[in-house]
Amino acid sequence: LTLVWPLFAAFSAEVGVEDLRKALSRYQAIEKLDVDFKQTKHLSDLALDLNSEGHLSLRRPDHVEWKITKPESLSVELEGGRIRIHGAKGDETFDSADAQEADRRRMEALLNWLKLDADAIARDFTIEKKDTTHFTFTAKPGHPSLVTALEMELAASGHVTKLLFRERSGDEIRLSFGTPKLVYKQGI
Amino acid sequence: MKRLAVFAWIFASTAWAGPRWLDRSHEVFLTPQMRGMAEGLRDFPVFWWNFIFVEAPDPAVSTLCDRIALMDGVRRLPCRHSADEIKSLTADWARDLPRRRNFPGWTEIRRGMRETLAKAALPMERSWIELLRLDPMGTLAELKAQLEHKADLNSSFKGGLMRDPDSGRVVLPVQFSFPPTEAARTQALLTSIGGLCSQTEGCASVHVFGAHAATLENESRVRQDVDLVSKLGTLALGLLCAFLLMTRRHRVLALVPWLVMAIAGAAAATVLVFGKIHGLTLAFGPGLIGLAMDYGIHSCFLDPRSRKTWRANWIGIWTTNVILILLAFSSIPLLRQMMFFAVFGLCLSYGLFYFLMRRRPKWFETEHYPVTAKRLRFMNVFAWLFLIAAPLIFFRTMEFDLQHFNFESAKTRELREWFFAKANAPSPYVFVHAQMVRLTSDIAHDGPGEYLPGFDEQQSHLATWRAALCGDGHHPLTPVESRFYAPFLDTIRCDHLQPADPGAAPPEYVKDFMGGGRFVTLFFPKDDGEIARLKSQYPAISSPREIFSSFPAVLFRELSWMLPLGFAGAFFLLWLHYRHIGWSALAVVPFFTGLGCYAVASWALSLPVSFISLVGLLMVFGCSLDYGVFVMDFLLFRKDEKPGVWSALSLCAAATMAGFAPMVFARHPVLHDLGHALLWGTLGTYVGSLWGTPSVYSMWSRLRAGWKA
Repeated sequence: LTLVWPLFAAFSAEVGVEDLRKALSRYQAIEKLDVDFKQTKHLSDLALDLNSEGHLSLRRPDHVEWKITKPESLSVELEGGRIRIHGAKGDETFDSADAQEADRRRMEALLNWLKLDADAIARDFTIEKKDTTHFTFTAKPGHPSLVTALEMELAASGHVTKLLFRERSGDEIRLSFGTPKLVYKQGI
Repeated sequence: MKRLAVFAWIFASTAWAGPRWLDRSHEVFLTPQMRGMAEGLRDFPVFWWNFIFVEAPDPAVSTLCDRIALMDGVRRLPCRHSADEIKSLTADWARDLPRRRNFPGWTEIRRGMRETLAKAALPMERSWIELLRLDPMGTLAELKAQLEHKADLNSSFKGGLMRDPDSGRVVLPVQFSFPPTEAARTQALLTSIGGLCSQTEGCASVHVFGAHAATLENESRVRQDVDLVSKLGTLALGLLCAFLLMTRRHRVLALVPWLVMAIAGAAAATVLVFGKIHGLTLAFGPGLIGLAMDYGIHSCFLDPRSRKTWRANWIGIWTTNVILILLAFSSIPLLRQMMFFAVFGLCLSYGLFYFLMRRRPKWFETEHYPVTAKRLRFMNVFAWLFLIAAPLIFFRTMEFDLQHFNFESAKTRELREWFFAKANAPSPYVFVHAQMVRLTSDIAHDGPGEYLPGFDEQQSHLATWRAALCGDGHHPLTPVESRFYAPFLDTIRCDHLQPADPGAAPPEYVKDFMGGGRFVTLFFPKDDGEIARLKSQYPAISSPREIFSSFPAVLFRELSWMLPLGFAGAFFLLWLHYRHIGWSALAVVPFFTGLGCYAVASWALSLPVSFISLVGLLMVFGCSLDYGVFVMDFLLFRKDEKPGVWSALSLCAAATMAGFAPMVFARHPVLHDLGHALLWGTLGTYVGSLWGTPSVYSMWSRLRAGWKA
């Protein structure tokens, strides 16, 4: 029993927001975050991998820039319910106020992930903890999220190193993050 | 009996409502030049817009946007673009790139491909990825920018809606997916929108205004009015029939079937000549029945065998016909159709009456009532009062605007006036063209050519793609690019590089500008200078507002020579009959008292004098000359005979007034105006016939005797 019990525990430990908050404690009080990433989107029915690289930059409270540098420069800014895509041909803007309710909720859920907002994530997903550095998330029933499940891997230092998004379509997005530069709020 | 015919007519009109030969369009008011363009406008989805007025807080408006966008029958709701709508629009757009633009070179294409691949790596629905696979050049952004620019032409709207903080109202433009003529679908959709508001927390009210809503509101109003008028009319008919039966004058009722037959024949002849008969021409039917009945009733009471009776009838019908025939030369199709219908109906009924009464006088011969004008001498005062008041008609507000015939509930009117005061809603200038071409102009415009060029330009663009792709060279793409962009590469295959087939279904993104096999381009000139430039460039161009405002000008121009000439012609016929200017003038007295009575009523009740009122007054003119001739003939040629003329006139007038009085309770402007003009006009004519003409005649005779003495 002593040998087998930890194995069972590793597969079935549903946890609450407190555990997630604790795991993401490094991100809860930050003011700025900058980190490089590598991404692979796997299109399941085409059996095709789309590889890209870029840089994530977060400015609290709600400004996120997802900047892709390879294969071509493209940046996506999310701020105040607005998505702005800057490409070589100009800007495209989408306002969540003009979107359907379901689209708005999807956008919010995505933003919560990029901000690593533990409380907001816990509202939309059921959290399971494999071990201290591995978490899995399952979208709660009725949530219109594009993503049905996620896996998150943390480094020993508490930084997020890997994220795996499983989309409803069967496609997957794998993200690997480098070491982030964090700037904390004054006094923390 | 006149009522029997009138209501047989109304019932027949409602029972037949909807067949192909029945015309309900507003185009019947327009001259041929204007009609060609206006006729086609309703076919173009770009004119299928309405406005939803909502009184609700922002979250409720947002919920309404979400739900209305998903409703069956809603083509576009700018406050909420549904994913399906955008996808259907953009798939065609992406596919048509080679028709729209020259080959940009592989370097440019590959750069676009890499950028689009980066976009595709973001989390998104699979259907969006399929669109990106079709559009490596990111042209969807161009379409979006063009649509946004179009929305910006009206600066009052932001984010697809207009908020007014003062009134708390929000206006949501909505495009329906079917033409305004499909009233049943409009009804279902408006009911659903109303139901949605009551289910949405905070939604206080919702009201729809626009092409579809107005059509439905008018049709519903006419239906309700005809229902009301029919019920009241049936009551009046019953009372009149009962009166005739109780007073043993039932032979007069024998006129009715022949009259109905004659008017039905006139309606059939109108359909044969014009292809259709307009609802307003049918509404003219009861008035025509009233007019045609006069000769029959007159003959019943004044001996159908008498040559004097038929001579008076003959003069009566031609003094009426002369003005009707003149108006039949109008360039306004409705007037032409109405006048043909009236002249044909009058002549046919007259012929039938003459034939039957001369051969079977006993079927119709009726003893007159013991009534004379002398019994109520105080009515002379009213007759003089109406005569003096006749010129007042020229001081009444003339309402010739076509908008007047559009029924609006008080709420719709209030919202329309509020909306046009608040919103910048210009009436665009419309150019209809047979070919899909790009119209060049520096004046803001929107049309199919802005999205898909004409055939020649497409050919020129496609040639550059063929030159680059249809040789021996291979495209320099990576395996990932080749695989991901397989749908795009399929659209630029050599055998697919062909111009759009004019016979095939049009791409979704230009469907707004297509209708009935033609295309429309809208121009938005900013000032009179731009309008003048536009008109010099495209002489056939016009705006819906201009088309409809041309109606009063054309009508005024025509009436200004037709009416005086018609009156002169009628007066000349009277002179031929009496060979005496004074007697001829006396026969016209009932018309002026009729006009005076209507002027007084319109002043007292604040009634506008509209095109339909004028049509009603024309019928009054016809009636009044008949009455005038009957009275003058009696006074001059038959004074010693039995006084049946007073019974005939009383019965004619009573039946006409009973027939038209219910129309006064109708709320639709057409029926309401017609009812008032005929009711008050006939009342005044009656007073003028029984007391006006005899009174002036006796005064004239006394003066003449005095002069001679």
